[in-house]
Amino acid sequence: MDFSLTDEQKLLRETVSRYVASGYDFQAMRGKPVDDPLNVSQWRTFAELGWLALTVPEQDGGLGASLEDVALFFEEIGRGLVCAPLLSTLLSAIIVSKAAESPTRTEALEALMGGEKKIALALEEAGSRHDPAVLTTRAAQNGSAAITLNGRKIVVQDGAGADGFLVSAQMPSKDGKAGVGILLVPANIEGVEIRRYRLIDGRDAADIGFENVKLASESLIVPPAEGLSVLQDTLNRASILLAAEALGAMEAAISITADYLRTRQQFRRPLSDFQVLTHRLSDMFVKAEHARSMVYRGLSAMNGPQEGRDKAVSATMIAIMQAGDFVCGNAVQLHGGVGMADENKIGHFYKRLRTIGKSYGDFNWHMDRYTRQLTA
Amino acid sequence: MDLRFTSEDEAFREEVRAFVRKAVPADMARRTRQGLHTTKEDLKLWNRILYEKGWAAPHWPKEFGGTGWSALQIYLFEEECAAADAPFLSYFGLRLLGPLLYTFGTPEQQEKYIEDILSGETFWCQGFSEPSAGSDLAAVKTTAVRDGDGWVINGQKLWTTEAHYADKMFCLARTDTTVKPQKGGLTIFLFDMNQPGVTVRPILTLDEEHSVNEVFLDNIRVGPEDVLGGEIGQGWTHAKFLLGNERVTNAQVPRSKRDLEILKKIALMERDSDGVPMLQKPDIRQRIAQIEIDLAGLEWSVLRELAQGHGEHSAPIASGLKIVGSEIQQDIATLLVDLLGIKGLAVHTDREQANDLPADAPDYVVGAAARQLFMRAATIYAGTSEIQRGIIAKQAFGL
Ligand SMILES: Cc1cc2nc3c(=O)[nH]c(=O)nc-3n(C[C@H](O)[C@H](O)[C@H](O)COP(=O)(O)OP(=O)(O)OC[C@H]3O[C@@H](n4cnc5c(N)ncnc54)[C@H](O)[C@@H]3O)c2cc1C
Repeated sequence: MDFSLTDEQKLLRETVSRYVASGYDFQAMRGKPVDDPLNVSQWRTFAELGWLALTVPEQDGGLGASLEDVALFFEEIGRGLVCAPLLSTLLSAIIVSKAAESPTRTEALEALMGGEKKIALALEEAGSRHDPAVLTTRAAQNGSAAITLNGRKIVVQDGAGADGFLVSAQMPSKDGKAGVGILLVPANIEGVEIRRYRLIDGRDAADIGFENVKLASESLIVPPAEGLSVLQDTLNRASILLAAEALGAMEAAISITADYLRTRQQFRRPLSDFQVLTHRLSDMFVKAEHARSMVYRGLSAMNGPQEGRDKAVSATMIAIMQAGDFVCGNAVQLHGGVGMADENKIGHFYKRLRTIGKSYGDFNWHMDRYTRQLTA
Repeated sequence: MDLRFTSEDEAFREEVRAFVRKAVPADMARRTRQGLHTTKEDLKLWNRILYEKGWAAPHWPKEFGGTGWSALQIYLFEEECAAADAPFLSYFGLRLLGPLLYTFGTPEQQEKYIEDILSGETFWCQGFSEPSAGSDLAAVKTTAVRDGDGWVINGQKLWTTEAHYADKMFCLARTDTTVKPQKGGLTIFLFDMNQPGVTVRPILTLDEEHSVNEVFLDNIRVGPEDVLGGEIGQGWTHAKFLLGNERVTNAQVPRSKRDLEILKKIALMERDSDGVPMLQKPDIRQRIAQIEIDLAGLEWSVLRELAQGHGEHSAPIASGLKIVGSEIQQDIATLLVDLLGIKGLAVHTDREQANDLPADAPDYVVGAAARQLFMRAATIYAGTSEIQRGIIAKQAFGL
């Protein structure tokens, strides 16, 4: 076992921390529509830095980074509280790269890497509760002719400003068996209705209706026979990357809180003179360390046999959510009223952690999945 | 010992229920259920309705407009109001300043202010906290300097709830810097918000809503009649009296009972991916049961405290009630959002429902995420949980 970083990994982390340190302003970026000039230029920078190519395979011109690399990247993104549709984009590239060679595939990957297009994952439905197999959206195909898509997706993260969606849909496979296909659907075509709103962490989302949407057969990125396993794998990756982001966010919140305890004075002394507060800070540190271990453990499981992955990823996410609640909740608490002010950054770590705790699987979902696999 | 409500208590409850259920307008009830900050219009209207019935401030002495009910009856009344989704009336006049006025105010001040507080004609805000004085309230820097027979006030208040609704402020200021604040250096002044020199800046909280403010006081002139109680230097005594009252009401049992009831209804409507109502899932049932048990314990602690008579609360017990009550409020708000699943991530705060609500989203989504976030403040305002624990250690054990 070796937990040390390679030079390349160190470099990757540094590019993010340098970007954040060079004046990334969370308050200016949150809640900004994607077409805002600030967002546009930020996204261009991300493309130039190569971040949008991280998960694109090397043979397609990407960086083909390992899951560990991408996790390290997201840890720094979390530490900097960078508010951007990075996860959707990097996950979309993973899914699109699984498609068979086609102009659609090549164009999509190039547009993703180049930052010209954003794609969001439209998986959740009103009744799905994170289970990718539970869906009412349907795609029908007559032979190899056009595909017709009908259904409705909810809380599509980063969906408000996306140019296209990867949509999961029930679809019979060639041999007639039930399956789940993944389709690439442009946002601006007929029959796509987008209802936009904001999430608590300042990012956007959308509910998206598909009514008799006509798609070329090339839009089927992952065929019905493979869709579910691709989704399950993608969701595990999503969880691990979110866990890494959460870890960075927690550590940042801890260090900001430590500084606050040093500087804030009440009763004519710094808050750090009150042991109840320094001990709380120590507990926050202990929980974050636990979370860090669980991130590594989850990453390791993702390189291991298929059977062990679900359970290990759920264990990681449960640890992350519990640590996150404690760490970021107490970061607010130890800031007193200041922690409640939206204009102060500290509360946004809490909001981001709350969002992470409900993205691609919430506490109940992960706990259910874990307990189902609990063995005596 | 007789651990039951008497039949008179029950009859009283019925009487209150009959009135309250009819009196709360339906749209107001809907807004209250959303759990967002109550609008000024709703506060005024509900205050007016209760005032006309003579029930605006049951906890006040009868001669000042109270009802003469027992403490238990007052509790039953509050429970019925909460059960009918009536908003909690504006706090600062009725709960904080009112008792200060009838206890310490001059006859002229009582004459001038009390009736308008009761009727909801005048809204007040509490100008205590400042940038450098929160837990350490005695550290207020706002000064009131003698000028002729009056004073000139300068300073900055922070986290002032409802300053943007308020007609007046009761303001804690330093009147004598040569003595300790606790030993005669502080005074509470009463003045108009609507005058040059008072600037109110909104502060949005984590719920992205506006309930607190920063208030700048720039050469505010007050006369001798605006000194609470008429005597300079009583500020610390007054503030301590007020903070004691504040802690007791912050157990918020009636409201939490109602919120839990609503939560269970929602848990029946929300389903997991197999279509099973969340209320039937063992882990959810356990979380609900846990909150119900915690709340039952809190309720009986409140009842125990109330049954012992009126007014005199033991400080360590009041602090304990505040600690537990605020955590239960947080637990309920969080569980509610968890029940909503991914829908609970969206910011839906349109009180008139739904300009921002997806067409097929249930209306109980409105306000849920915002309330969960705002409830983080419950362990901060009215004395943080850490400060409450300090009070218990000191007052119960002399530590
Ligand atoms: C939503 C909201 C509404 C409010 N409304 C009003 C209002 O209307 N009027 C008004 O005057 N004020 C109001 N307040 C202010 C509130 O009373 C203060 O925020 C509170 O007293 C804490 O003070 P502070 O924010 O300065 O935090 P600080 O006192 O700086 O506390 C920071 C942290 O240090 C801890 N701490 C401080 N001292 C000690 C100690 N001795 N021992 C252990 N721990 C300690 C605290 O518990 C907290 O965790 C409101 C606050 C909020 C959040």
